[in-house]
Amino acid sequence: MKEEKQTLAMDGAQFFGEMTASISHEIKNVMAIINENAGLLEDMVAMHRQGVPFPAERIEKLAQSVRRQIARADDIIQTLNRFGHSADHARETVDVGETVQFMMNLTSRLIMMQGTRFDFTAPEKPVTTFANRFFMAYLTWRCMAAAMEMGHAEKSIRMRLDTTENGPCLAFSGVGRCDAFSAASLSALEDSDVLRLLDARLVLHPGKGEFHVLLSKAQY
Amino acid sequence: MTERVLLVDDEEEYLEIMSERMRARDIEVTASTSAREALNMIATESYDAVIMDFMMPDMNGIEALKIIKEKNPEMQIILLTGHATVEKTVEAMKAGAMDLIEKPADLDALSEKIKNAHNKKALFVAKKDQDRVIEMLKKFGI
Repeated sequence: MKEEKQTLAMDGAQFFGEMTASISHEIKNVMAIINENAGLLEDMVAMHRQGVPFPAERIEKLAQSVRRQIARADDIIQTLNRFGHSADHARETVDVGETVQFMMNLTSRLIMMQGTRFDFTAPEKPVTTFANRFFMAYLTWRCMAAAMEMGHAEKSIRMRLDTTENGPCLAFSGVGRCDAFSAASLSALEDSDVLRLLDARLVLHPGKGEFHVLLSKAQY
Repeated sequence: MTERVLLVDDEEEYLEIMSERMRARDIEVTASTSAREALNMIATESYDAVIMDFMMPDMNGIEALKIIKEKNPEMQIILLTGHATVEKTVEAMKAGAMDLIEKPADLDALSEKIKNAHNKKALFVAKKDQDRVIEMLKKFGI
């Protein structure tokens, strides 16, 4: 039990590190653009000192660019803040669809780097589970990473969320052969502590190129 | 002589402003938002330096760097990164990068590196020509 907790803590720390490192890259990109805007303004001042008039329209465009980047940074920081607060409660009612969308947003650059596209179909009504929000996000990412690892030539993975009588079911399809041997990460996930913590199960459907994550029902 | 640079980054605004600032410093800049597109451009055009983001959506910087260096060993590659860790720097240098620079980059320092890239490339080409001449002379027993 102690060992299981330690493994989970290590996995969680690694996940947190991976996500924050990715976010910090995004922030650096924003800073780089603002930095070049400032540099261009300095160039214009230097030219103005040599008698070149200020290009008002260009300066206006630069100000707009800075505003856009500030708004982008604000979004990134809000996402980071939300991610940080996901570990606030040991267990709570978690909207699974919202978690999936949040993870798609948080990992958008990592997904893009893999040249993969995720399409998510969320049900009209919220589907909830009673779980630890942070580890629910972690499980979602592990599944997404496994799906990307298995992915086929089209690199388009579909995620569908349904409610079954036993609880929510998050289905990943378009994932090639989809057997435990085709993805080391999926194989590792099958017997992982995070599934036990969330009282979840992984079901593979190799013939259909799908795998399902069965989550526990929400408790009220 | 004007330095010729290919600037590759998926951030369009970054490309636009950086290109404008480089042109104001008499650097001839071609910009691309994709590593794969950049590889096609390199196949038909010659550049003194390729300045490329480390994390491109369609291909990572190291992968692109290896492909470029294999076909165009004279081309100098400067990688831009959000965080220049020791591991990343070693990996880049081993793959043949001229430098790895952390974003946001200082354009004056970068301009100096572009000048160095121009000189390095010129030396590389001159050395290659010299080797060719020596080889020919040997062939004729001179």
